[in-house]
Amino acid sequence: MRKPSCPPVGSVRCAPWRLGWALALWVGCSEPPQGSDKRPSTGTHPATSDDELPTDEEVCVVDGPDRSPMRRLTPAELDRTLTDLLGITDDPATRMLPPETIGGFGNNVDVRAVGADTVDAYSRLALEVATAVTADPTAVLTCPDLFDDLEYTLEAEDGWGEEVIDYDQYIGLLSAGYLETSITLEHDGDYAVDVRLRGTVCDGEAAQWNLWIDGDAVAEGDAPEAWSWVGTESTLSAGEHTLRVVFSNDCYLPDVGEDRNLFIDSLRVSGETIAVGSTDAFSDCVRDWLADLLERAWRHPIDDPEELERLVTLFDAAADLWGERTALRMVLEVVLQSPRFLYRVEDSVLAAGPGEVVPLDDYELASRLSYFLWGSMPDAALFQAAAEGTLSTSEGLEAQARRMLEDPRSMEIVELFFQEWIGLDHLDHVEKDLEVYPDWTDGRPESFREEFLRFVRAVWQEEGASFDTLLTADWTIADAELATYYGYEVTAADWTRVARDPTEHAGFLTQGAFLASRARSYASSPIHRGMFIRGSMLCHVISGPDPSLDITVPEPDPDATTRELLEQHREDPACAACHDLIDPPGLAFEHFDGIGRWRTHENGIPVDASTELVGTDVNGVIDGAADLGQALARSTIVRECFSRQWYRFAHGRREGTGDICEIEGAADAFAAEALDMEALVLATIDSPAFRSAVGSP
Amino acid sequence: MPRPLSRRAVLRGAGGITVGLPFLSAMLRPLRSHADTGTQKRLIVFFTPNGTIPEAWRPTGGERDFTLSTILSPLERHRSDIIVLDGIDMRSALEFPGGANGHDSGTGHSLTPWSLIEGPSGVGEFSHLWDGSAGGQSFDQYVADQMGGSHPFASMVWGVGCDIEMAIPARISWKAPFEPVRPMQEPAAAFDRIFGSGVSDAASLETARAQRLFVVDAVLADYQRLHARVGSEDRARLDAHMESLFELERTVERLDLGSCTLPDRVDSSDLSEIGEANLAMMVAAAACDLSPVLVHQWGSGQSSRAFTELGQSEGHHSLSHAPLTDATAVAQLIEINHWYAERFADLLDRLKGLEAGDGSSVLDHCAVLWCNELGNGYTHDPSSVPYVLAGGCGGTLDTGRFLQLDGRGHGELFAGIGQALGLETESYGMPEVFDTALTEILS
Repeated sequence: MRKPSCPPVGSVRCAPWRLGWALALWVGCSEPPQGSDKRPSTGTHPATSDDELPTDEEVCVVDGPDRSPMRRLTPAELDRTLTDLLGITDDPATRMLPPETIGGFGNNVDVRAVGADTVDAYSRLALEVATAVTADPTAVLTCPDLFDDLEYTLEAEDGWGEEVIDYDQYIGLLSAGYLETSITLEHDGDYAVDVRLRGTVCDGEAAQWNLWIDGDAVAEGDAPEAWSWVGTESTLSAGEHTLRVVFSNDCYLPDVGEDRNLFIDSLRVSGETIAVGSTDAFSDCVRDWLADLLERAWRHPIDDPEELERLVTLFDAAADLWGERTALRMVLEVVLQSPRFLYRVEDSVLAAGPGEVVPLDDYELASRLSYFLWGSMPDAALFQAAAEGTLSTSEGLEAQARRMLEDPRSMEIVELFFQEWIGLDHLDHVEKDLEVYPDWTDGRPESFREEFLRFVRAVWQEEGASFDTLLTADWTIADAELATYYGYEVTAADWTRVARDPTEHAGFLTQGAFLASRARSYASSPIHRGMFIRGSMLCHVISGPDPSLDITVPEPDPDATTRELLEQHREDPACAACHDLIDPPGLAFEHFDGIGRWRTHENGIPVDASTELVGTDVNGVIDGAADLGQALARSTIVRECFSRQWYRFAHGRREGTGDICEIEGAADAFAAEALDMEALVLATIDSPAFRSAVGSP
Repeated sequence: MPRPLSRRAVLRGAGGITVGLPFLSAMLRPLRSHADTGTQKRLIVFFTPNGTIPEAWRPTGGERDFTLSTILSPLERHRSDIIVLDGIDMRSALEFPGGANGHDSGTGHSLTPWSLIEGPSGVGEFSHLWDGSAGGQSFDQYVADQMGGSHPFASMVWGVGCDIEMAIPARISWKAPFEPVRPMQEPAAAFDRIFGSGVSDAASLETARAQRLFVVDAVLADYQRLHARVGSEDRARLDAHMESLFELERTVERLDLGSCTLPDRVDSSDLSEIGEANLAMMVAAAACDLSPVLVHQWGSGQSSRAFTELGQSEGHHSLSHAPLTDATAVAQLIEINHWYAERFADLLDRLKGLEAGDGSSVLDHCAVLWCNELGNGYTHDPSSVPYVLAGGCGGTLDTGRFLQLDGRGHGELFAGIGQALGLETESYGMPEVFDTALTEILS
């Protein structure tokens, strides 16, 4: 992990270039770093930036990404891919793989090293999925004459009894009697022998059925009154066998109109599916199956025929040892653990020389698009577009991107972006002091989460994906319970839009999900709220406090406001260096308490939410969260930062120097399209970084 | 009256016709003799979070005539088998805090005496390093590398309630920087991984093992072919994957439960039950000599666990932030640490109850270390961290003592334990905070 040094203020390299990037440096570099090129480098200065500045505007020649690492599917991506590839829908990856949540975007390629537990889980997952898929081998290998499924159709050849009645659909034994048939089995094996029948009750007793095989009674039971399969399992040898269904407890009580009869619908003998095809026939059929499977599993035509032959050879070897059915399962296990399935391997990158920027081929583009917008493998239409070569044009790529954004599947990914961007998982760890907040309940975080996600969906789908609305909306989405909690007017029991006071509210920033998770257990926390604005919305990197500073949190004071307690630490110049940047945006939220509710007073003292923004491109005095939301919506730095967040999410990594121009290009398109976030997503796709890759050393 | 009866085709019975093949069994036999199972030296780590209340933890009296305090009182019956270590600092955390919050720092340093490394996201909200890393290889993983060679598992790491999945705030074991070992937190899945999932007869077991090895070999070959083609950055990624595949291969090859007594397979989300199930698996793993390094992590500092079993409603983490003047919170914190001491004493009981084969107990051959992420919970301070070391470690540890050490580094403690285990650990951790190995613990 390289740690670029942080140049001192006023150095040539800090000359303004683009406002956002310059500020990212300017904010932190209040003093020169100490030994920043060797560990321990952290904490030795209050703030740093991870970005190195190009020296002048000429640097901004966009020609490709900073680097192009190979990405491993996240558990959720693996599950969706298994659904699309094999129809597996029970989410084995999220169930079996260790969770891989990390701070920030969960697809970050740099912090997803594979451990032994993950590999063990992959192995068990592959076994489970392959076993399920190959349970019916005839559905996998569709070539004729490979399998005999040992399923026998039976004809009754003889019946005996005084009243054997043929009812067309079934046969009735109205008094004691039996039905008999014979069957010739070609293979030894374990078989299920089942009869579909029903019976009537007489004198409180059900009709009894007995199943005989080759003259031995092997099973018996009471016949249910509704049609049912009953039967037993039996080991049978090859050859002829006689099956007989017997009815013996006849009963007829005409006085009460009761008559005990047995009705028989059908007989079935089923054994395992066994392989009967020749070795060559199997190899050929497996080759055909794999050729199709591999193209989709690896999401690319198979360039090297050896790859296919190797798997066929594996199948042959395993079939020799354990039989074709098992071999089929095992070869699928291998495919499901192969690097080209679990990772997104881009051969164009492998072929490129160090630092050489190369265009991706159509199939690689198809995967980039589908994993970015759907979190899964390409669908048939996308594969088709790749085969036709239309994705390597800007128009073709955009057409597919637009089609995919219209599909509801893309909404899941948009939600994931927002969840990870605002760190929605913080809600899972929120604890509140019930003495301070008696209205807090265990279900509150879930309710906040629902509100936030519904709001994001509504903004994206119904408000033209407007970033401005995200930050300034004077409405939210709540059910009656949540609206009552907030103190809004309840208009419906179910989740619906509710109006909020536009002078007080600012989109998601004044929702409980953000406010309560950025708060202390007993109070609000302007520091935590301010850190989110600084770090996640302005992309300013501020390190933790210097170890020499006393960072003891002041004890709650019933006679003071949070703001007053906070002001004490800013009197110390060492603290003020960072807190003058962090606290002001946080103070704008002071009308919201630690559990996200509006307040006019704190400890009996009127709340003061006025503050002066500094270190931004929208500096000035503001009062309250609504002002802040509007200021942030106007800020170019915020747009560039948001564009940066999408870039990280799309590429699964933090940006490097070489990515900066791409991000600014997307931010420009975003601004030009009236802050339509979908336009930002499209601009992120329509960029050299997305369409090309750079060779690794 | 002949008539057609059957209609639909329904397949019955899954699974292929398996042919038990003896050909691999010679190769699959474990490479160790089980005769000396119990006398294998072993490191066991028992980690608890959120610091302690020093006044209620620290024994009184002298080195050998000490009196255990409230928190450690459950260890009274083991007093001749323990060394209570007071005054050890995580000096690497104390002197190189790296801007991280106290929990991140304490957890990341707890077994790894090197300064933390920031990840790609730098220092984030709440001063978390989120995607940062411990600064080196944790001590348990170092021991695993040295001693794990012939075992099915080089190390086994369990956890409970480590539900903040981010590495730095919640991982104590690190193979290397940026390679945290995730503890096994789902006991049913852990049971399946270690003790198999229901295959009981020997022939089926051998067949399943042979097939799994066949598949792992084929998969490894795929990775090797790709490895030869990728650039240096991706090569490191594939290296980690392949190393894990080799580890899996070795586990599958060598895991022979033979006559082991298996623990119950527990499927629970109750934290106490998970902890109990984990410890039962750990004891079984010691009895069967599955690994020379066994680790159990009782949660991470900031997980919101509340000890409802002790009648408490406030989370342990939140309590630890209460000022020491809050008598109710302090009483509850003492109760929690006392509860952990009971679990620790219970673990020692069970290890003591396992015969090593030469008349001694398994505990006599273990070094069992109870460690914490912090010293004083309220100040989130990595100094004077509470440690208790138990077991004879094959006669190399001089137990039955209370050692008062003034500001020795925890790397020095690890170096001492390493020597007890028979390793050449002259030092451990970053040299800036290492003076001399803590040989005071040795006999």
